[in-house]
Amino acid sequence: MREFLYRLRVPLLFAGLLLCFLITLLADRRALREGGTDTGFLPGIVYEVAAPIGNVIVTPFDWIAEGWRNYLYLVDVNRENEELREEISQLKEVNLQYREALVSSENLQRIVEMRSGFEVPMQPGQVVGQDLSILFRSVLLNRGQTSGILSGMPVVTGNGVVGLVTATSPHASKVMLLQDRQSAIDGIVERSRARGIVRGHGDEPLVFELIARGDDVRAGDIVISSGLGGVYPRGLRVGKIVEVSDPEEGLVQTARLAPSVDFGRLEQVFVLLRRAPTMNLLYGVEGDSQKIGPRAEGVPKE
Amino acid sequence: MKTALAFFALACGLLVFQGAISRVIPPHLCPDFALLFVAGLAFRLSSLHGLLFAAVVGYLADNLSGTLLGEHAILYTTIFLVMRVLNRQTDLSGGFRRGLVVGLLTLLQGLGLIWMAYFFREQSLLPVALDGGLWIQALVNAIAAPFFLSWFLRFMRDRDSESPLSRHALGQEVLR
Repeated sequence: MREFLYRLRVPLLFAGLLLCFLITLLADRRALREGGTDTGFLPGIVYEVAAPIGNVIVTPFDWIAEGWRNYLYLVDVNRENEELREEISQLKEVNLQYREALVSSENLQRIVEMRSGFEVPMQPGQVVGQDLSILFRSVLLNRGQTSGILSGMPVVTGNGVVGLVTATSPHASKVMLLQDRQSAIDGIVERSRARGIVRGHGDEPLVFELIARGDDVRAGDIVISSGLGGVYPRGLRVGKIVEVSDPEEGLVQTARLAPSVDFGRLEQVFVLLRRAPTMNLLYGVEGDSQKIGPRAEGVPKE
Repeated sequence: MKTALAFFALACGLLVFQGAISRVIPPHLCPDFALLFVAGLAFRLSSLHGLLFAAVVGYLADNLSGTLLGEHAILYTTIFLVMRVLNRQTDLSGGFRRGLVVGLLTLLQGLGLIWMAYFFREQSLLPVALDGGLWIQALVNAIAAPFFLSWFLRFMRDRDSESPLSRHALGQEVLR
C-alpha cells in the first residue's frame, strides 16, 4: 500500500494542489464580488515586498524620463507647460463639475452641495508595477492602509477616472484599471445627458454601451461618471466618444470611448479616500478609521 | 534549504522586476519571467519539489496580477508537468526547441487564462488575446527562452553542490 501511494505521489500532490487552488480561487472570487480584500502585513506580504522593490526599479526610469523632459527640452518652458497643463486639467475638472451641477439643477445650493461632495481627501500614490498578465489591467501602488486606502476606493488623476482599489496591504494596494474587462462604470454624456455603461475592453478604447436608441450621442462628446453605480462620485471625466455605432435593429446603441487618462503613462495617481455607500454597505457601518483588516472601516465620513 | 530560499528570492525578484519593467515598456514586449522560471525548474528539480515551487510562483504571480488567486498557480503547475514530460521524452537541449516549446506554452497559458476568466467570471478575454498581445508575447518568450534558460540552468548548477533538491535532480539526470 505504501509503495503504491509512493508511486502515485506526484499525481496525488498535483490533485491536492489543484484542490487548494480551486478553494482559493472561489474564495478570491467571492472576496472580489464583495468589493476586494484589505489584508494585514503578513497576508499582504507580496505587496509589501513588491511595492518598495518596484519603486526602486522604476525610480531610475522615472529620473531618466524626467531628465529627458526637463533638460533635453527647454527646462523652464517645459516646467511652465507642465504647471499650466496641470492647472488647465484642474480647471477643466472644476468647470465640468460646475457645469454638471448646473445642468442637473439650476439651484445654486445644489452646486454647493456637489462641491462639498467632491471635497474628499485624496492620497497621492506612485504606480510601481503593472499587471503581470497581458490579459488583465491592474497596477500596484506604493500606498496602502496606513495612508487610509481601502478596497473599493476610486482612483483618479487630474484627467479623470483611473480605476478602483481591489486589494490593499498596509503599505501597498492593487488597483483595477478602467481598461480591465471586469471594470464597469455608469456614465452620462455631459452634453445630452444620455446614459449608458462604460466598460473596459482590455485595451483602448473603452466601450460605452446600453445607450437607449435615439439618445443624442455624437463623436466628440465627453462622458462623465453619473455617480449612480455607487462607487465613483458624480462628474468625474471618463473619456471622449470617438465613434458611435447605431444598429438598425435593437433597442440600444453602442459607442467607442477614448479614455481621458493615458493608461500607458500612469505615474502618479490619487486615491479618493471615500468609499461609496454601496461599498460601505458591503463592509458594514462606518467605524474606526485606524482599524486594519478585511472588514476595516477606514473610510472618512461623508 | 539555502537553495530553496535562493530560488524563492529569485522568483520574487523576477516577478517584481517584470511588473516594474512593464510600466516602462509595453507589457507584451516584456518576457514572462515567471513562466520562464517555471519552465527552467522542469529541467533540474524533481517533480515533487518542482510542483511545489511552481505553485508558489503561481500564487505570487496571482497576487501581482488581476487574476483570481489560484489561476496562475493552476497554469504554472500544469506547465511544469508538461515541460517535465517533454523534457523526459524529447531532447530539449537546443535553443530553438526550447524557444518553440516555451512559445507554445505561453499560448497555452493565455488560453488557460481566457478559459478560466470565462468559466469563473463569465467574461470573454478572447478579443484581448486576439488583438495581438498574446501572439507577440509568445514570440518574445520564445526568443528570450534560450538565453534565460541557459542562464537559469547555470545558476542552478552553481548551487548543485549544496542542495539536496538539486542533488536528487542530478541523480535522476545521471540515471537517465
